[in-house]
Amino acid sequence: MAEVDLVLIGNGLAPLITAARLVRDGRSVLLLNPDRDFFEEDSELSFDPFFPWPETRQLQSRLKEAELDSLIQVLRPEFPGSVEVWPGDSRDPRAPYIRSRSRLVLSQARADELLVLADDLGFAPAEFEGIKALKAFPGVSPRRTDAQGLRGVLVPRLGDVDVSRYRNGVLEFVRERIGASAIACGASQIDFMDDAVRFLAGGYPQTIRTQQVVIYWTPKLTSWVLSQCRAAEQKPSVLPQLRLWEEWSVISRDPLDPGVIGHFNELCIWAGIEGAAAPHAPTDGDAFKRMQILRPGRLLLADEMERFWASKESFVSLELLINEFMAWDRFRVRGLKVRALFERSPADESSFRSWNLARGDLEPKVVVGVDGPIAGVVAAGARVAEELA
Amino acid sequence: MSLMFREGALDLLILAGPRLSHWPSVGVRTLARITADFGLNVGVYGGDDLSPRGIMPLPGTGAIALLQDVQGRVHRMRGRAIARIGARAELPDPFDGWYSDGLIPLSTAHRLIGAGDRSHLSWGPATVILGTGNAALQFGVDLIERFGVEVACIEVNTQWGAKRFAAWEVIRRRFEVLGGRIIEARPLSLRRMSAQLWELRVEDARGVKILEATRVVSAGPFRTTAGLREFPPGSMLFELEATASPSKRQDFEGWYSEEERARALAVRIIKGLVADLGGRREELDRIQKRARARLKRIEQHRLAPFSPSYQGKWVSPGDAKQVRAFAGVPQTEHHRRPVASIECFEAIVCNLCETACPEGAIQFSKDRTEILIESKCTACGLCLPACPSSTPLLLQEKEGAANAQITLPWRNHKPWRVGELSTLVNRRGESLGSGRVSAVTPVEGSTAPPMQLVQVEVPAHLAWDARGLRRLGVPDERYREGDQDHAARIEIQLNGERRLVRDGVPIVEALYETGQSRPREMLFCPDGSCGMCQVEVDGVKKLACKESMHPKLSLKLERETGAPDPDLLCPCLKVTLNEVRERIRQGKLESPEAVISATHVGEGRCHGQLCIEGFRRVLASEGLVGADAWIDWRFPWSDWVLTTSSNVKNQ
Repeated sequence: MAEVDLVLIGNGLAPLITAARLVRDGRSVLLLNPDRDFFEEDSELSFDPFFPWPETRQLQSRLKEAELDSLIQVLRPEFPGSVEVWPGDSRDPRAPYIRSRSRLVLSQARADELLVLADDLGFAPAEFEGIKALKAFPGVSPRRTDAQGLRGVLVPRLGDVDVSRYRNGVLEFVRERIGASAIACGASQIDFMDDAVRFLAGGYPQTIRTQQVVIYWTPKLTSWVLSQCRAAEQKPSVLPQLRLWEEWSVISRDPLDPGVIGHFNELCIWAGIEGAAAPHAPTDGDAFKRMQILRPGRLLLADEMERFWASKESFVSLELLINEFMAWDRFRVRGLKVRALFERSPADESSFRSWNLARGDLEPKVVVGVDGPIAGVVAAGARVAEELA
Repeated sequence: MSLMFREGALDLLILAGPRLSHWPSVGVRTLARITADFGLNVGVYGGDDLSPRGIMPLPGTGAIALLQDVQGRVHRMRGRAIARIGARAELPDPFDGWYSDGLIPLSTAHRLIGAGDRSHLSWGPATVILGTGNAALQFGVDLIERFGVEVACIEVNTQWGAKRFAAWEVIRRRFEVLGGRIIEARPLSLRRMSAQLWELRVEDARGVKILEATRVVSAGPFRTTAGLREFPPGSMLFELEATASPSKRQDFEGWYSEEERARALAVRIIKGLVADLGGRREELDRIQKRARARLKRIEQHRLAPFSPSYQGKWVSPGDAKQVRAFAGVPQTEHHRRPVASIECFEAIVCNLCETACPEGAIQFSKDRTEILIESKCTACGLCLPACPSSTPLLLQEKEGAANAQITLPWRNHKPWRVGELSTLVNRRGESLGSGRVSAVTPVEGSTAPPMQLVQVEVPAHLAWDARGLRRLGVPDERYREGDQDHAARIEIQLNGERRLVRDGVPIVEALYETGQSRPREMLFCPDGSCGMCQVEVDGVKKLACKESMHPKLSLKLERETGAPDPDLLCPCLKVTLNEVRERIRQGKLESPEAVISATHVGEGRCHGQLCIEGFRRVLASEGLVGADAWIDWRFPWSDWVLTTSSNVKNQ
């Protein structure tokens, strides 16, 4: 029977980060992914959408976390190759980019608080009112001239990441380091024994002796994690709520300013680009015209999701944004990605939680908070490694 | 000023994918009929009334579908099962220059060729067709018969079982008799030589060949495709490939296979959704068994083909004996009077001649040991025009006579007259000698080009080899290039320049006729569902397939700049084949979703309509398990335009 120090069970980025760190420290790991491949769930966001709007203390810490240099500090050590920064003197157009974009929050109610906080943190925020606020917002049609009562705060130097490039780079690195045989995708019938884990992968049953198991609880694994809790006659110490997120991709008539991420009501709006925001970036001839809209949906139970995907509420908020606020007469939907993520409470500074699922001698550790903004996911993966060290 | 939003739920949603030639097809009708008959609530959405925009799979089974009606209202339907009817896969694996206006898929070619005996698009002097399926060869036959152009079909995949091409032997024979050529080769590059001439380089076993063609039509099939998929497994989300043509005669195999696949799908859906079938389980099992058996028969011709071998121009003695002993050809009666000879040697699923025979003289037994009942045949000749491959003929071979009589169907603008001499050709289209036309019978109701049954007196020793006619010496005057009615032309402005185009034709068609088309117009759909052919008409962006030419129209075309990469896979996002392969190998990616997330294939304006089949074949060639069964469910299926008049409001 083969033996490893740790078995990590998950389908996203966090177990890869943990594995990379543990292997660096000389530990042997086996990665079990119940999905056919990594990132099928797509549970990492490229930036913090600040939703639900955090309380003052949490907003401060989350602004700090989202700041470009902090983001680089979290992400760079975990990535094997170069991580490029935009704007900057980019060298490798295929590397993951951390883009420095300003956040423009259009909100009368939040403007004062955000202005003071950002100023305290040294972001040098700017306040816009009326037509200036309108012009600075990505995607607003020049036809819209009525800007009465609009007020916004622009916070510069917050970062967002090429999620896909980053996590694929980490996956390639981890695969190379630990060997393809130490990663089993499509693992099913995972069963915990006293000192081993038994599972089915590639049609063959396997049993691996190990000292510790870590389960990374992402929304897709909910039913499996809960079934493990039931089998262990335990209640999960936290029961996170799910929130639906829709990422719409629409084509704008005019090019968007790639340097700004706008917040309008609960929506985040930005120019969808990969790599550096430069004309050489892969686009379909519509350079900077692809507008991404991230819309948080309702908090729900897993079996409720279908009721709210692309529902009337989604179209109403799109209409409000695009037709009424941006004054477009039409819009072209290029894509819609729907995902459910665990809700981070506005009062929490971090969503990271873990507890041990008592099961004989082997006490699998369940980790929550490994989905959502990528910086948080990477930090959670690293923290697990530290705790295990 | 608000779009209504309606919610609904049904057991089964049958949804039209983009670019379907006709709706509802035979498969849709079969699927809807059987499932409704078993008590399921079925919704059929497509065509002009309700356009499906895409689905979002639900956890477990079923999906939410979003549809839009003609008034712009959005309908959100929940389906316990989904059947998407997808357009036929017609585009080839990427090669240098495939994404150019020199290459069009077969469905576009059908739309451009139009009805009647004139095409305003030039197909001559030569057209190349990629693929050797029945639909491809049938289109080749059509081109030759209607316009007298040279046609070559290229088989790029030689893995068709015992056969080295995809089509039925009878259709290949028809194509070759008319002078069409079949080449086994791999396309290397397609480059423009002049406004209406392209150079296609292909590589065969002997090296590189250069073919000059007015146009390259991509027809396929390029691999054996599933035709019916479920993805993810057990999700009740299905895709049925639409292979049926509007008429059964146009492509019998496509029609038949779609109908049977729909039948098999109906059984799967009913078994998945109906908890208690009661006494109808046996009935359902019978349908399933029949569909399975019939689907198996469709592939039979590739496994056990019969294609007579030749010694020079003559069928080899062994095979000649086999031909004469075949159950479809007359054994005795033809020595006394003309009798039909059904020379359909392979076990194929077509039975058009059988249904056309009023006397019941043609009856295919299951094992095909009985086909022709000579005594019943009255030589009425009705089976001759019924066969799309012109396989049946009438044969009279009096013992001891110097000449025999054969009657062959003839479709051409230049009819035969009694007494004319014709060149006789064998089953491979090679000249054997000459014969004299002894009788001519026009076929009533035949569309352009008109059909005749031509009786020819042939030397007795050619009676079993001569299977086609050609005119002696001079080429047929079937189509005169450029013979178009200039009086009906109007003047328009195209990117600021004056152009003459036909009045009232769709803009896409006019662009092809004037040589101004762009590669993105290759998808040319009948209903704007592909959303690719956007142009600026009188200052407003519109779809070129939905707008017609009118006098003084001002047209602006957005041109694609830069030469495309030689191994371009996804033209919208300029993703190359090598990039995809590299990502799969480097990242050891194991699922199509992971490859898409790394490469973004199909995320451009075509939503995968140009590249997803090629992408699927790359995945399969790289060894990704289940690539053939994978379905791209990304929402929406093509660009979805919402206007201010289509806003959302409470109902």
